[in-house]
Parts: sequence; structure tokens; C-alpha cells
Amino acid sequence: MRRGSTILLISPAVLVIGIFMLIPMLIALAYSFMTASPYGGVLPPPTLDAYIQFLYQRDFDDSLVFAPDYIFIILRSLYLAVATTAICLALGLPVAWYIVCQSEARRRLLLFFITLPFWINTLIRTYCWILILRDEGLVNNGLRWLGITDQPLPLLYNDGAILLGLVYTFLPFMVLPIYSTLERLDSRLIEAAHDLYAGRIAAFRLVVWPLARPGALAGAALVFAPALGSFLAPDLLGGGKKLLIGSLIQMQFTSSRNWPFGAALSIAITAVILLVMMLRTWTAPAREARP
Amino acid sequence: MSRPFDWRHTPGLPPFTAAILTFLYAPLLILVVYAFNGSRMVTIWQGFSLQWFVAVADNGDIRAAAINSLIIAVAATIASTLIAIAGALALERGTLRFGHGAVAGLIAMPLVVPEIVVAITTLVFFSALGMHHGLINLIIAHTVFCIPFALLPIQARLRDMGTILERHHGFRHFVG
Repeated sequence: MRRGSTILLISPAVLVIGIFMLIPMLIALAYSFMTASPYGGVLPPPTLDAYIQFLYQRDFDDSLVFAPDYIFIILRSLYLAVATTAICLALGLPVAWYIVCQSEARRRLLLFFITLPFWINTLIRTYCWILILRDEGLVNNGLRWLGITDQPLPLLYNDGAILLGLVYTFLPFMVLPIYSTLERLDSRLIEAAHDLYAGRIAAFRLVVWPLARPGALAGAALVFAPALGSFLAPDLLGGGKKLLIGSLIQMQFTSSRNWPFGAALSIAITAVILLVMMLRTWTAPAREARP
Repeated sequence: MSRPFDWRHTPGLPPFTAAILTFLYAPLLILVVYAFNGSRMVTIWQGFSLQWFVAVADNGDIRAAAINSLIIAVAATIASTLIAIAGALALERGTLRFGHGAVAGLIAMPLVVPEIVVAITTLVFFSALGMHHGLINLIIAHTVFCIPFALLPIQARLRDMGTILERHHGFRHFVG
């Protein structure tokens, strides 16, 4: 293919994403340095208010008091995103390995079942868990019917429920990339490991895991990033009681009407994700960069 | 003699995978079952009924919303798939002398930037331009979001396919 055709073919994708995603990001960056209009939107005078608000609260006498509330929200969001990623890895790796070990026809069927939830709206998938977990839900009704409890267990509206919802939503994102790296695994490597007296665990640790790692890293990125910004699971399953950064951003553009602060938060969360991605690129050995 | 080592079978994995698939599908199944519930209370079963489906079909707002969703989905699918086919061909078969990494990174951006950030920055962008075209705005936003989801599988297929067919004279003429 000639260079001209290459550029012609790639330009629609680059232009569409560049204009409607990269430039909006830059505009949001600019907005984060402007003054909030009380009716939503921004006013011209440039200010650092959005970033000051992040760390300090303005007192009655206009002095700034350090207020770590928003930092705690970010830390809580980070903790939940990391936990989601870890659980998805722990559940997704064995499943991906199981699928790799099956016959061609069964592989295809299992992959279909892992992919299918992608086609169902996240809102609906999250809502299912409300039916199961709430006080009058399936679990509590079941436990009462069995006579195990007489008071409903508080299953909904806590961190555990949020975590469950996040893992439920993002698990396929972990299974698929791990599967696609392990799919190309040369089975002779495992047989060789066995011939050299490696047990199951040693063969996994020394052969399978090193080969699965690039997929696991890709999966971790695909789970961590959306989990960090998610707002459906926190709002529906967490009850929106304790804020996470996704809900906080959403609030700035709806009820709170503080666009600069919302833009600053969006920039912050994107920066965190880019940082994690860059760490990943730096720490991954060069041979993993392109399979 | 000991049994031959079968690395394709790991003890405990089949039930584990079955449990994970149950975890993925049980909630959806429960939702479907309760859609046929005659009761006004979601989780209290009062016999089979189609009343909620009738209620949905009767509701004009829901019908209008469903048609809007359908228009957006069809338009975004067509646009993003066309853009993705071209992009995948260029990335997999083309010759970009430089900037390959930057282009691939840009295209993967919608995958790693959280949805809420995409939503908010797009809102800011459209409002800065004074673009209030409803459906058109939504179609554009969804097209952007869908490009990498279409491009990555197409690119993977192109890689698996190899270039034997394309090196055929006629095909070459066709692609240029």
C-alpha cells in the first residue's frame, strides 16, 4: 500500500477522534482554568479556583482552610478501581486459561458467552443486582423464607455492593485480552516444562503466566480505567451516599453547576489513567510491546 | 506407569468457570423472569403476566425513546465501522513512516478514557461551539466511542488473514 493511500485511509479515524475527543479534552482543560457561571457554563476571567477548591475550602472570612474531602473521594475511587482490577484478574485468568484448554468449537461457544454481556446495557446489568440485593430482594426474601434471618441483611448501598457491580460489569474486559494472548501459546512449551519435572504450579508460574502477562496488563488497563470513572454502579448499588469521582464529576455538570471544577476533576482522573498507562509501558519489557 | 500428564485439564477449573458464567448470567435471567411477573412489586411473584410488555408498548414516550436509540445505534454503527475498516487497513497493511504509535494511541483513547470524562468533555465541546442538534450530536459522540471497538477486532482479523489473497493481481488493483 502506498503512503498516500495509508494516510487517506487512516485520516477519518484520526480526524474524528482528534476533533471530537482530543480537542474537547483540551477545551475542558481550558475550562478548568475559568470562572464558574452560576447557570452552568463558564465566564471569561481565568482563575485557579477549580484547583484550589480541590484542596481547600473558602472560609467565611475568605481565608483558605485545607479540606481533604475531595482527596478522600479520589482515594476511595482509586481503592475501588484497584480492588475491582485485582478481583477481575483473579477471576478472569483461570477462566481465560480454561477456555484456551478447550476444543475449537467449545472455545468459540465459551467466548460467545463471555462477550454476550457486552451487548447488554450496563444500566440494565447493574439494575439486575438491585433486584437481587435489596431488602425485599431475592437473597433477603430467600433467607427469610428459609428462616435463617428475620431482619433483611443490608446487602445494598455499601462498598461491597459497588465492588460487586464493578466486577460484574468489567470482568469480560479482563478475560478477553488474556485469552487472546494465551490462544497463541505453543503447547510444546508446557510439555517441555513437564518433561523437565515442572508440576502444574511451576509450569503455570514459569511458562503460562509470563506469556499471559501482556494480556493481563491490557486487561488490567481496560478494567481499571472505566472502573475509576464509573458512576452507574456507585449511584445505583452504592446509593450515592459516599461519593466517587465519577458521580462527583457528573454532579458538577448537573446539580452543582460548577463546570470548571468538573472539568478539573475530569482532567485529574484522565491524568491518573495516563500515568498508570505510562508506568505500564515503562515497566513492561520491550519484547512485550508488540507481540 | 503414571497417567500421562494432561495440561489441558486443571482440577477445579470446570466448576470455577461454571460458577463465573452463572455469576454473569443469573442476574440477567432473574431480570427476564421478573419481567413476566404479574405483581406491581418487582420481587414478589404473583403469577405469569404480559401486562408490563403491554404497558411498554402502550407508552408513547418509551416508543419514541426506543426509536431514537435505534437511529443513533444504526447511524453510529455504520459510520464507526466504515471509519474503522479504513483505519484497520491502514494500520495493518499501510506504511506509516512515523507516528504509528501516536496514531494507535489516539485511536485507543476512547477505550481508556472513562465514559463520564468523554461525556463531559463532549458536552463542553458542543456547548462551546453552540452545537445543539440533539440526535446529530449523539450520533457523533457514539461514533467516536465505537471506532476502537470496531477497529481492534478488524485489525486482528486482517493480521490473521495474511496477505496471500491481497497479493493477487486483481485484488491489488482493487485496493491500490
